[in-house]
Amino acid sequence: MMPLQGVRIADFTRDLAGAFCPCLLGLLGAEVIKIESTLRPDPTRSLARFFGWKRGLTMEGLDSSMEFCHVNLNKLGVTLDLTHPKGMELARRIVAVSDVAVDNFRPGVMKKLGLDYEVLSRVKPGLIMLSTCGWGATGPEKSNASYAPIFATVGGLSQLTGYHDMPPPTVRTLPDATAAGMAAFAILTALVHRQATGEGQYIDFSSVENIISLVGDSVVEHSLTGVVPGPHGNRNESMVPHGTYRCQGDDRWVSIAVADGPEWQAVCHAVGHPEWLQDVRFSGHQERLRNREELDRLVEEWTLGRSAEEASAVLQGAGVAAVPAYNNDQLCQDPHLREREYFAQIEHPVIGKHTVLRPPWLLSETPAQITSPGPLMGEHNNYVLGELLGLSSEEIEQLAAEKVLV
Amino acid sequence: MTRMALQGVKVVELCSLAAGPFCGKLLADMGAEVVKVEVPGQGDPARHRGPYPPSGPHPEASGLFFYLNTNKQSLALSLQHPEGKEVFIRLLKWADMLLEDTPPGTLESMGMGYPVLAKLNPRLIVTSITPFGQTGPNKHHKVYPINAFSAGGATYLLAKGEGFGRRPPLQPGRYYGDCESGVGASVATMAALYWQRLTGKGQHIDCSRQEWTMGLNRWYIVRYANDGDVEGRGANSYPWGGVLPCKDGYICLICPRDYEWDRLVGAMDNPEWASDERFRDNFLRAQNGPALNQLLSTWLKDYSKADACRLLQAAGVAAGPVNTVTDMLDSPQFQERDLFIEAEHPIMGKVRFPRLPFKMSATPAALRRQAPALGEDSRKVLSTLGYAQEEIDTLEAQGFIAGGAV
Repeated sequence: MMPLQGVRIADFTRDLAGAFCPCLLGLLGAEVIKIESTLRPDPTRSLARFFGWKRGLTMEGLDSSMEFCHVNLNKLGVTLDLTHPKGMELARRIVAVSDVAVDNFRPGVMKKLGLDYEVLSRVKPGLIMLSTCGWGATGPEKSNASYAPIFATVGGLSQLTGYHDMPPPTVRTLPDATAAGMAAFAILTALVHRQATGEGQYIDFSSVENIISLVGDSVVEHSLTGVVPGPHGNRNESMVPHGTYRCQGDDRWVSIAVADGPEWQAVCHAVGHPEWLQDVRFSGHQERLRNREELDRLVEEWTLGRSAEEASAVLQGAGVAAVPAYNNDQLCQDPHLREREYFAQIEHPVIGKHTVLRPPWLLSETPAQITSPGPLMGEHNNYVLGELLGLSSEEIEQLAAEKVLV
Repeated sequence: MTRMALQGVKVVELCSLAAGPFCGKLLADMGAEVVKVEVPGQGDPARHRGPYPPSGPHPEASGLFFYLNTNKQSLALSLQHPEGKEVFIRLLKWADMLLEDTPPGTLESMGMGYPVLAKLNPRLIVTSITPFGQTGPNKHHKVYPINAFSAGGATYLLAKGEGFGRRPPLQPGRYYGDCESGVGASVATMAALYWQRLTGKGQHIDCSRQEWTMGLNRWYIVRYANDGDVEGRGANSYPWGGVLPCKDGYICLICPRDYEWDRLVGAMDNPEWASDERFRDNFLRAQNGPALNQLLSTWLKDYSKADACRLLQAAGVAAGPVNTVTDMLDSPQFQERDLFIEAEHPIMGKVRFPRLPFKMSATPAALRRQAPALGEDSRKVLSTLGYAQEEIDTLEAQGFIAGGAV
């Protein structure tokens, strides 16, 4: 039993920002029907060369991308040509047996396909529809094209991250994936509302606005002080030492954050430098803030002599917040994550057996689960069109011959 | 007044600073009745962080606390004494869910572990939001925001490329990492609420912030597990394009597909260098990324952020400005979408902040009240729980609950 069992989602999304939203709901038990076509496949299906190429996976064919698989877990796959009138009609019939529809086309595309909320809410009374795109469904910038790093620059995150003496960072992936999480939250609130009242609704979601909401306190700061907030590197206005410090090994680092006097004392004893407590440069919090560069240098002298794991263990043992700034090989070998079985094995018909992350929450009564890998192109045409919509196998063959199922 | 999506959902929040409170804020802004439990005389540590108005630090004037706690009620309650614990238990019998971020084992040591709470209130959902989850060798490790983000592998992956790769792994601006893990917890919590409304049953949800954050970067994390590839920080996030300088700041330009290259070249009025052999296809452009970015920067230096993005978007190229807070406030796009809300606060004066990043047609999020003063709702909450005025007076006189200002 999963918590969203019985909820069905017609999924018109593509790319990470779109596809990961119904994926999260699918991991929680919703039945997600991903509607795409070989004429316009989800672009993520072409990311096989990005990882997996060592395993002999190529961009040829649309079923060998681990990237696609990992953000489309638990979905059913249907291939419909949405520019064909019969394809549009079948898409409407899928919506008619669904509770939720999600898309991340640019504003106007779903309307052109005859699949906008006005039409679909007549096809299915009580429908919840969420449309997500960069700037939202209205306003002068609504038709803009965008990718994850642009959400981060337009939404203010890039300007608030990094250093004064360098260009702002190009932030990859995170802005897409977080938008998908927030969109899943929005859909769930609408589902709870529908549960109580039977009423559906339309949700206009913006990935740029999502970034702004995650750094919204910067807007508050400006309204209170008139200051335009900028980047601070790894500094913190009230904590010192604070940052990521180089350790033994190739590009290995540990993050350390020290809030107050007692934590500072614990650091000095843990690293074997009680004499720092007597040092006038570090005698009080204000002094430490003022001399933070010198302090950072001394702390790094200590971290350089040990592995990130060892530095973290020593400091945590003394009650100091220190965690390796893990890279992917450290995480994949981390005993804590292994004990929590965060790395799961799945079997994919083309990719084979490989490692994926299990759902990121442990629910005691209705656990989230991976029930299937990302769908192959058209893998579930027969189930969806036959069993759910009641088409005969002759009708399905006919639709395939007419290149509606393509 | 329109019904709100989470109207009637009763939430107790025992969380501080940013991750848990952001999850609670999402629920509160959607209409849930959220009672925030705080330590009398101290309150959420966020009250003691800036930004503050020019009048100076004041626990009722923290911009950060304001942003994270709109629409909530504050109950100042001592959980150290049996009398306070008794109030807390009555509160949990009333509630649909508890959001808590105490270190694993804390509730158990107070005699209020999940099995006990489930007997008191079988409907209760308990969402535990902790850095490393409820189990595993690191479960007791202490973190501040930079450590939690590092634990998820995200400081390492946030900013890459020649410049950033030479510097330490980087924290994101503001409380981005904390807030995004609050989003993760909200998804599972809402799914559990949906199931609770169907079945009347609650459950315990173990949310590890490390796991959620890793899940957002899942593609890069599992590359090592599957292919043995260590994801380094030396290469740029995108082989060319990304954040580039222009006349009055920076823009972000992402152009991964061949047809987008053709549009870009057209938008630049077909400069001679664009037909150079080095830039013939996507592969060669990636090989010659630094040279290409140099030429793009030279072209961009005559354009303002706004003009460059207008020109590029008109040609169908994904581009967006690196916005500061003032850029966002001045944006006609955000003005037309009413992104920024204003409130008049008794101490802070005018406070401006972004609404949630989505618009719902039937149940829009709304500002019903500002963030509460510490203990502002103590007496009211106890009276809702059925305490008589004299009992409340006694509890207050004994210091187990507190009302009013700090």
